[in-house]
Amino acid sequence: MSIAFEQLTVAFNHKAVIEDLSLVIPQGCFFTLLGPSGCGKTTLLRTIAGFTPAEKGRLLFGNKDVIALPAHQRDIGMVFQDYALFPDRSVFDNVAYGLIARGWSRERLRPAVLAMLDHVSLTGLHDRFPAALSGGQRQRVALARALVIKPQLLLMDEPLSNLDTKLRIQMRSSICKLQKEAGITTIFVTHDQEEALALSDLIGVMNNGKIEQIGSPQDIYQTPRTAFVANFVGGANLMPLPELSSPIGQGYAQVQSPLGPLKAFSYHQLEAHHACLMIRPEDINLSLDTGLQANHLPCRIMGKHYLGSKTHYDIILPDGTEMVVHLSGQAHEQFGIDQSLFACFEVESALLVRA
Amino acid sequence: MTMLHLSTFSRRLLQGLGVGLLAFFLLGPLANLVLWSVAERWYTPFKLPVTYGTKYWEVVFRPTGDAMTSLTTSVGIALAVVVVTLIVSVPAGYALARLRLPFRAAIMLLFLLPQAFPSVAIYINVARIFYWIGLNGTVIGVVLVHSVHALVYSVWIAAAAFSSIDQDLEWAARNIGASPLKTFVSVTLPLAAPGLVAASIFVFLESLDEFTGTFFVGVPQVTTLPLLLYNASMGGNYQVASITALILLVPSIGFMLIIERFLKGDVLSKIGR
Repeated sequence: MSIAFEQLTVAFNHKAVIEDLSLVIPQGCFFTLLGPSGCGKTTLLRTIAGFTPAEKGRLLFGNKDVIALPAHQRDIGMVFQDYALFPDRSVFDNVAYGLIARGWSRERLRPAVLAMLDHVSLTGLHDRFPAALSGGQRQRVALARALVIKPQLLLMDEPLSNLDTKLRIQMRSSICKLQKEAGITTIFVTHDQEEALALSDLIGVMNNGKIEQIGSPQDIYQTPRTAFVANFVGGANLMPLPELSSPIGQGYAQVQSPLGPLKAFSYHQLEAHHACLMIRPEDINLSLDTGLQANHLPCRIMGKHYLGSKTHYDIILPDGTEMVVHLSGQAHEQFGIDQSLFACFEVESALLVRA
Repeated sequence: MTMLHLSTFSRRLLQGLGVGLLAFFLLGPLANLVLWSVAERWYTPFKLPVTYGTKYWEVVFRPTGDAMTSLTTSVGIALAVVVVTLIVSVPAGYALARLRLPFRAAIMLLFLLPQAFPSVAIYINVARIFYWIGLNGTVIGVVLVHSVHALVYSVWIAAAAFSSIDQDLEWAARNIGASPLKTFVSVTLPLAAPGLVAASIFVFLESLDEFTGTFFVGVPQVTTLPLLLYNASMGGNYQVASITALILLVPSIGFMLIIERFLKGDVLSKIGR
C-alpha cells in the first residue's frame, strides 16, 4: 500500500510542529525519516499511527483518507522505541494480542503466532516474560507483535537506539530482511544517519517540521540540496558565499568566495542569495604545493587526530573559516601542527547548496 | 582486641535495650489487651487477673450477640465504601494521570479537604444535613461519610498507579487493533490492579476503624465495631472492649502485610504527583 500526506499540519499547544507536509511513499518502500531530536519526526509518526491528531490535511493509505479513523482501525503495526511489551503477558500472549483483538480464536492464532516467532528467530521462547529477555529479543518480540497482524504499514520509532553497537548492526540486517520478505511499506524514524543510509530505499531528511530533501541514500549523501542535509548526513565543511549576481542553474559554476574565485558544481537550481559551498572532509587533500586539483586554498593546520585507518586534521583558512579534513594513507604523516599548506579539491567536490 | 571485644559487646547491649524498649511500647499495650480479654475477674490490689477464662469471648462470639451484629455491619459498610470509592477513584485517577487537566493540582487537593478541617465540625454539619434529607441513622449515610473521608487515599493512590504505567503500552494495544475500552480493560486495569488493591485495602481499614463520622451520623441505629468498643469501655466492660479491639487488629495486620507486597516503589513514588 502506498502512503501519501497532503498538506498535513500537526500542532501542539497551537504551535505548528509539522506544517503543510506533502509526501508520497510508494508501496513496499522502506522509508526513513531522518532528523535531529525535536525535528518533528516522532510527532509525524504518531500522527500516522493515529495517536496525535492532525490539525488539517489528508493522510492517504492507498486511495483512502484515514485521518479521521481512530488508531485501532488504521491497520498499522508499530515498533516502539522502548518496545512497549506488555510486562504481564508472556511472549506468546504479547504477539497474540493483536490477533485476539481481531477476534481470532485460540486454535486459529496459535500456529500463526508460533510461525511468526520462528520467523524472528525466537523459537522456544514463547513462554518467557519480557523481563526475562535480552534487549535484542525484546526488539524481535515487538517486531513479531507488529508483523503478525499483517498490517498495511509498519512504523518503527528509533527501534535500535537502545541496543549496543554490535547488536544494532545485526538487527539492522534482520529488519531489512523481514521487511523485504513481507514486502510491507515501512516508515522508520531515526536520528542515526548511518542506520538511515544502510536500511532505506528512500530517506526524508527532516528539520524544524519540514522535510528538507527526499531521495535515495546515494542522492542524499552525494547530492545534498541544503547545507543542513549536507552537514547532518555525512558531515560537511560549509563556506557561506556572498550574494551571487544571478541564480545558479544545474552544472558547473564559477563562484566568488571570500578567498577568491572557486570552481564549483551544482546539482540543483539555486536562488542568488542563500547559496553556500559544501566540501566533504574526505574530498579535501592537503599538499605542500598548489597541486593539480581545480581549487586550492592556503591553510594552516590547527589540530591533528590520528584514528588508525585515517587521520583528521583541523585546518583554518586565511579568512578564519575552520574546516575538517579526513586523510587516509601515509603520505601526509610528516604534516604537523602550525604547518602552512594548501587545501585542494576538485570541482565536483565543491558543491553549491542552499544555506 | 579486648577493647574491640568490649565495644562490640556494649553496642550489642545498647541495641538489645533499644529493641526491648521498642517492643515494650508496641507490644505492652497489646499484651494488656490480651490479658484483659481472658480476665474474668480483675480488681485493684492485684497486678494480674484474679480469675482467667474465655467467658467474654463466648459472650462476644455468641451469634445473637451485639459484637457479631456490629462486626457484620462494620464489614458490610467497609465493603460498600470500597465499592463506592473504586467507582469514583478509577475514572478520577485515570483522568488525573493521563489527561492534561487544567487545575490538576487543585483537583488533587480537593480530595484532601475532608481531612484538612477538624472532623468533628464537619461531621456535626453533615449530620444536620443528613437529618434533613433522612440519611441520618442509615447505613447509606455512614457509607457516604466514610467514602468522602477515604477518597483522598483511593484517588491519590489510583492516580499514582495509573501514571506509573507507560502510556506506550496503551498505544501499543490501540495500534494493533484494541478499542479504547478494550485497551483499558485488558492492558491498563490489570497493570494498575496492584495499586488499586492497595488503595482498596487502605479504604477498607479506614472504614473499619472510623469512629467520629459513624458516631455523628450513624448512632444509634448503626453500630459498628469501634462504636461497640466505645460503648463497652465507657460502660466499664473492659473485657468486651479488649476483645473488640483485638478483632479490629486482625484485618489491619493481615492487610498491611498484603499492601507491603502489592505497593511497589514505582507506584509509591508517584503518589500525590
